[in-house]
Amino acid sequence: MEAFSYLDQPRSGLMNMAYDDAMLDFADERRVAVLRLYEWSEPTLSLGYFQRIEEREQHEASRSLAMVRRATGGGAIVHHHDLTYALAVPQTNASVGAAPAVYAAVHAAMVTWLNELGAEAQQWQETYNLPTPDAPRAGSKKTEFLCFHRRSFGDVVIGEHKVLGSAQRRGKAALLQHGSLLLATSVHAPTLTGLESLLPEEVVKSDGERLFARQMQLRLERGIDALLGERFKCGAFLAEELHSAATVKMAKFEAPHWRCRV
Amino acid sequence: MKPEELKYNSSHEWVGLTEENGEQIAVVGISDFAIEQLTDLVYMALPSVGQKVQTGKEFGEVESVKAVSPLYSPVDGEVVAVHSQLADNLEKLGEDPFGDGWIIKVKLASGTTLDGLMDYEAYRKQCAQA
Repeated sequence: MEAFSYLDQPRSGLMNMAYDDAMLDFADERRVAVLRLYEWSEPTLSLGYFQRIEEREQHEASRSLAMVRRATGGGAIVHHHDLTYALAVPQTNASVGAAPAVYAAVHAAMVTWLNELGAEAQQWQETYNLPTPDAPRAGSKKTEFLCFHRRSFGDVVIGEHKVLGSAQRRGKAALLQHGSLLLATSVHAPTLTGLESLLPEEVVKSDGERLFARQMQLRLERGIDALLGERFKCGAFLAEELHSAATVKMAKFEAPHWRCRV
Repeated sequence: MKPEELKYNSSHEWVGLTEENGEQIAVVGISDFAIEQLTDLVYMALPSVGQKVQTGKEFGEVESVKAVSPLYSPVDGEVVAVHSQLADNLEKLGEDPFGDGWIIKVKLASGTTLDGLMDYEAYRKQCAQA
């Protein structure tokens, strides 16, 4: 199995989701792993696959933003000051549910990197939602709207602040893992704290966002190399082919029956 | 239904045949092995009655804490019943995966057989190798 990685340019929410869906097809049909890091060309709210469309109306701070629905599960993310990664990996068609090893490899690599930058990052060891004034009543199945207000096993946290969360979607014989690293507080999600406030000041000052993204890409590659048994190669050449596939797939993510599916 | 009497596809859905009102009906669910692997189910999306299903194609989805996973139909046909209470009672899947955890009932398309599916023994071997 070959593995390719590249740092993409910022794209719209629809195009980003279409790219990631095309990557899942690549992994499934061509048996290649693809890692793509990216930003968003405008502040965008991404809803988890099973989140109700009405919930976004109730989140006032992000109500004015463009919205897309992800193919992966979990909570909503305000993509404003974050770095997003998508990782597509071939699996056997007999594998089922989440692939904990992929999740663990990515999060362990991120914890190591953040700690080298001077943070005290760790993986969350329990599953529960952080209590907030908006927390659901006991016994209710309702969960927090924003991904970064939720806590599940393995989430990367610094103190009480979640800074990286990931979620997966199974394809027929491949999986897509999405994750978001929160860089700074957004006016569209003012209750969240990003790395800018959690890392030593000199790190934040010395690293432009592009350089920071490149570092994150290298750390992710290194973390996943061992799991795949394959070193990542530059995948920039994939961009053109993925772009063609994604252009076709945009209609799927734009369609009302996808956006408002629940 | 007894798991030993059911047929399975490689993506862990089971199917058993029953007769209702003189028609052969396939009952479809997901195996205990799959439920265990999925862990902590939170949502389930089911098809509607009347929807056509095709062997190997998606007919529903489940979300666990970390993954959205499609459900693949082991047969061709038309959905005649949906276990709609499951979505709010996902624990039933774990408690009785081969009984009260059934997901859909399908009126088989003409000529559909279960010949291409695994028997219990072959399926267990697949699980042991997973």
